[in-house]
Amino acid sequence: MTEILFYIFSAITILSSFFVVFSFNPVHSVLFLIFSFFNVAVIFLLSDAEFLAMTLIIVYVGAVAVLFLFVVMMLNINEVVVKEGFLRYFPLGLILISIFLTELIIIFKDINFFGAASSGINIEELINQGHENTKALGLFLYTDFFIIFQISGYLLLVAMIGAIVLAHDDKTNLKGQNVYRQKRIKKEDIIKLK
Amino acid sequence: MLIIPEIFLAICAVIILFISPFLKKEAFLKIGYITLIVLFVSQFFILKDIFYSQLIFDGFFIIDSFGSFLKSLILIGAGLIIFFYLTVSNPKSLKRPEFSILFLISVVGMLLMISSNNLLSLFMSMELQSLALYILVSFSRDDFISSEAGVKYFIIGSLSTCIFLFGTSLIYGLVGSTSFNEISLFMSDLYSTPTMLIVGLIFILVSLSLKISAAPFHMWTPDVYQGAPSIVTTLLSTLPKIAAFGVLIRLLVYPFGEIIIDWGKILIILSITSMLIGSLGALRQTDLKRLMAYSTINHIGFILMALIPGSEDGITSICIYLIFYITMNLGMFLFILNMQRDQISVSSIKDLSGLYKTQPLMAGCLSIILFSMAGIPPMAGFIGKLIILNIIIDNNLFFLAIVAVLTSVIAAFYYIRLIKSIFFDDPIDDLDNISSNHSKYMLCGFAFFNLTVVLYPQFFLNLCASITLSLFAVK
Repeated sequence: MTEILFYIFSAITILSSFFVVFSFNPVHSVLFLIFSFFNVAVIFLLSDAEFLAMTLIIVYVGAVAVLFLFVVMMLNINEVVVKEGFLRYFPLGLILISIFLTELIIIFKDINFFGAASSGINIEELINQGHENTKALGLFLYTDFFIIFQISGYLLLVAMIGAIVLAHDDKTNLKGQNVYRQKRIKKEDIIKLK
Repeated sequence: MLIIPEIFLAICAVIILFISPFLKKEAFLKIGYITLIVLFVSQFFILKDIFYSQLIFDGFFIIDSFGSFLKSLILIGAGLIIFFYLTVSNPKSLKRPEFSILFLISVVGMLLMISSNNLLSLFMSMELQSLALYILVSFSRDDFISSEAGVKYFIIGSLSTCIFLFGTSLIYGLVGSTSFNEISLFMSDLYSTPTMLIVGLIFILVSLSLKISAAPFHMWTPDVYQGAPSIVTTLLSTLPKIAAFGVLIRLLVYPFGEIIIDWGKILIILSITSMLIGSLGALRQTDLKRLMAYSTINHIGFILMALIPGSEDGITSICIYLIFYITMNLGMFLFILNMQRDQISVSSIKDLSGLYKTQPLMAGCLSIILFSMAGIPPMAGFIGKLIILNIIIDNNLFFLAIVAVLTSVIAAFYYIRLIKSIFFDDPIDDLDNISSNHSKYMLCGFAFFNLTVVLYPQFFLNLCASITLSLFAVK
């Protein structure tokens, strides 16, 4: 049953990824991207990685793809201009891709992943002890990787300061509506037309 | 607890951030002075444990005297730069308290970078440092050039981050751990190095070369140096380079020490191209900051050369060269910060002409620093270059030594051209006299240091040699 589901969802993922590249409207591309993210999330769920599935939907769909959508809609990119140089650069791109691919295949051909040393994170063990994988990851994140977790929090603080520094504008002579003054104004102060 | 300086700085940055909105008048000055004090205190924490060595936080970070030395160098540099910032007249856009805070945060990132002992912690601290720097580069955001430089730096920096992560993932896939100790263990058990490990290392090297702006990954340097506010350029050209070199040395000597044949070749290419581009590219520049960018690339090539043998004295010479490089660069940029005509900052080479006639003392100091950069004896720069060349020749890398000397000669041309225009050209339009006395004294101090190092080179040799011992003791 799982196998059939896997094939169905991966087929949909591949198909929608193709549509991301080939659809003419950039908004459609982004929507297909979101669709393929959802399908990948389901594949993760099928292989018991519910934490990854959740993160994928929250981070990629909730933040990244929506941001893409905003940018695409704001910039109003003309699709003809985007596709203009496609045919001209296609042969060169193909050559580069094939060179890179062959190199990677040569390197990866006989590699023993996770061969020698034991991994620093032994998640399997924790899962075997009966924790689900979100809890297991959390246990690692808050104990062994505590300092890394703290630094990433600090990094987010820096990002926040940076965004405010670059965007905040303390111009004092802006023309704005002062509700207090507006309400307080008296009948006599108003200019009358005679 | 040995990571106290970093934690102290990080907490202080947050506290200062909370204080800053409540300071009404001249907030940036007050915050700047607080930052200076904070840097001082953390310098004390580092010097207290300088001969100590320990792994902390499950081996994520390592404290040793090599790291502590580079950290204290960074803190001294940071203190000087903040002092520059407080004493020279800055454009209005820089007079905000966030400047010092972001500066402090980037220093925290650099300190963490130097002591990281794991690819993961290295990545996080490198991001912390660069993120603060991206913001600093585009700090005067109403200035078109500054924002452009910020975006350029950000894009190149993110690219370098991606490359670093890719390399890390390859190494993690092979070794099963990101810890330097585990990688080192893995390497010592192998009969032949798997190609993928070298590919991973190459990716990490590329990303670090982008950080130290070694050619052919130098493209961003001139544009960013020119576009960034001068005080940020001062920062960019000194402190992050020390941090990145600390990382490079630790990474190459300790976990990847076994495959020195493989990374040695890469470093040879990097250093030769950096020296060539750094010396040839500067010839046609008209802007001092762009010129300094190429000069940085040239110096970086020289420093990288000393890492190729991977030996103890090579790293000693890198430490010495870094000290001299920082004093030269800080001196030069202190002058550039003070270059103004009618209260408007200028930075073109033409503005230097006839400086001798209006400000003879400053002209003298500046030319000492320039001579030192060119490597004319008996200045500090010459001693640094001499020690490095000595080591290169000891290791029979004659071709490299010839390239180094030839490019130094070419580089000497453009430094001395500046001196010629200072002393012999007719002044077109006088620069403003340097108004702040602090700047004058400090410029004299830098020149004095560069001039008199020749009297006590043994002090630096002994200091740096005793420092690098700790790096090899781990092995």
